[in-house]
Amino acid sequence: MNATGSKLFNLARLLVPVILVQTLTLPAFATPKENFLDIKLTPDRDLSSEAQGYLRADAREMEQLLGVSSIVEKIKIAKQSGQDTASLPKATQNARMLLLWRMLEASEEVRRVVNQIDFDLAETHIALDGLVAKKNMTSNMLNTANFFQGGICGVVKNSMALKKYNPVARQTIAISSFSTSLLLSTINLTVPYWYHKRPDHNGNMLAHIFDPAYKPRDAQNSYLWKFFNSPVPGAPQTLTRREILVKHWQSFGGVRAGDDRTIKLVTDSPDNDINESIGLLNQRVSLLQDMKTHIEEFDACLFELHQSTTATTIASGSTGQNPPSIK
Amino acid sequence: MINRRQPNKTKCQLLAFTVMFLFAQYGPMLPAQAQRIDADTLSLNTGNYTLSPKAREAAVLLGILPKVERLLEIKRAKADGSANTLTDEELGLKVDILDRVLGGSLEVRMVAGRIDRELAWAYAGHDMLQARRQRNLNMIFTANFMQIGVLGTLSGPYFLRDQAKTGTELLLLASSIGLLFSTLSLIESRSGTKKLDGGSTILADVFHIDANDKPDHRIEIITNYLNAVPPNSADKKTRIDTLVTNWKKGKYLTSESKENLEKLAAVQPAGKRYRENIPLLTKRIRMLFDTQFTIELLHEELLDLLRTVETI
Repeated sequence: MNATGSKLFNLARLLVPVILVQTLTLPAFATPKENFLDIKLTPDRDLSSEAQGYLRADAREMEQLLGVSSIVEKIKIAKQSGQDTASLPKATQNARMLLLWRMLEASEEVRRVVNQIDFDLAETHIALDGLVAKKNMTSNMLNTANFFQGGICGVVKNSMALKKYNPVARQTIAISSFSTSLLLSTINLTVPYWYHKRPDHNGNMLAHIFDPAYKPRDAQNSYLWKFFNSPVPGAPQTLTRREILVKHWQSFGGVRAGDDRTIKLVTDSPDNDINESIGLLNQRVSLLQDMKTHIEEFDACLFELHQSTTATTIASGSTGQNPPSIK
Repeated sequence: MINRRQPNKTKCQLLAFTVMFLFAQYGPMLPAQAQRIDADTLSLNTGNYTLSPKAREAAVLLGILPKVERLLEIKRAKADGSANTLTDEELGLKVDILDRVLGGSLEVRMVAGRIDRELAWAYAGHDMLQARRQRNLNMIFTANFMQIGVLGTLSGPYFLRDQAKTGTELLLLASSIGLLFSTLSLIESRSGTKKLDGGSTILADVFHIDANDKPDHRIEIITNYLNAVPPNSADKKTRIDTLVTNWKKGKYLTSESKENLEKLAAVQPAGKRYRENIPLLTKRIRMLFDTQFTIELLHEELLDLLRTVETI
């Protein structure tokens, strides 16, 4: 016992310094792991530049994306002169109209995509509800059948006992009942894996994010598309928003990098010939919902751009220019 | 006497009903149709340029009532037969109004988007707790059936071998375990909580709770809209008061204690660790939908304002 104790002590003496050194040095060499569990696709606010009268970072990105920087500038300068916006010169009013036009166009793009996602969501929910209803019905039927057979066998067995029937026959009935109960409950355990749905092969909006080669027909004109294919200004990583979204789904959505099979399944790809399960449909709902809420972040950026051009007073000390450090 | 008069009375009632029905069906549509067909003609003829209560409220909320009124004034002045061309001032006023209406519309969209996200979050938590509860209940039921099946089957041969005591003991054991599992299932059917996460919701604004995590965007128009009394309201209650009253009536809001309101709004005060369960999430989902619907009603007022400005 003593010999074993001293051996353990010696081993610990050797191991403790090694573990300590490992613990102290590993973080220094390890590359910082980026966390994509909780993402935000809009730039962080820079309060110091806002205090100097510059636009918010999201509004700044939006004015560049919509190509209205010069118009915004014109409006800001006009408003700084203290003139009522309704009495600005016709050229400025035209510029304002163009700005509103572009914002409305961008907002309509969001509506269009959200509408498509809503359709995909509705389709998935209908399929999911159908499968869940079938699963629950089967499970309930098995439980009911189990209760039924137990009740019937119990009544028969006890009636036989009252009439002094052969105990072997009675016990045979009881054993059959218990065995059936065991069988039915074992079957019940497998029910969640029974039901699947044939894929529709319609393809859904997730494919637009997962497929790096995807490009919509109006990609050249689409503000939303440009927004999703550009990195978040001021963010440490250079990934585009689309790539961030994919990383995010890899972190929480159970879609491993390079897992083409799962990607084909969740995107309802025409190449997929595997049937869809309840788990997969749940996963698709969760990803579509996430995509929708992240696309709607674009609305907030548009709102901030609008706020910056509508505010009746502009912070004193404003230069009417944007800080140069925007990516 | 009564019998003779009855048919006449019925005819009168029928006629009155028909007139009322026709008026209800087509009466309110006439001005709208006329506006669409020849808005200027109608406006010039009647000379009645007024804002509907909804359009007026929208104009007040957007801070453009003086501009809308100025536009009405210009139109009234023009109604005496002067040229019907758009002056620079009118153009400026219309651009201003359009600008603000688009801003209001974007604010509604932004808040509706935020609520969509909060709803998705609440649904995800709700579904997760429901699925977990259902899985646990199924496991308990199955385990119960299995243990009864196993012990019952094992007890059979003892009875056949005249060892009734052992057989009965096994059955007694199965019954006791069954009782335990049934009690567990009762507890499980009312349990299931998770940590409160995902940040505070719009309900914090509805309940006037000061949340630690301030939202990234100011929502002044929506806040004022929620805290305002709707036009032509009979009970003079603000929209928030109406929401709260309805939630109380529907038993969604059973307590107005600070803690309950904070939990419903998903506000996590410093130093506290709230948890949420299925009934709480169900109530939050309902409240978020109601709030979203109320907020989106602002679109109706904006549309009313746009139509008024377009036709004058």
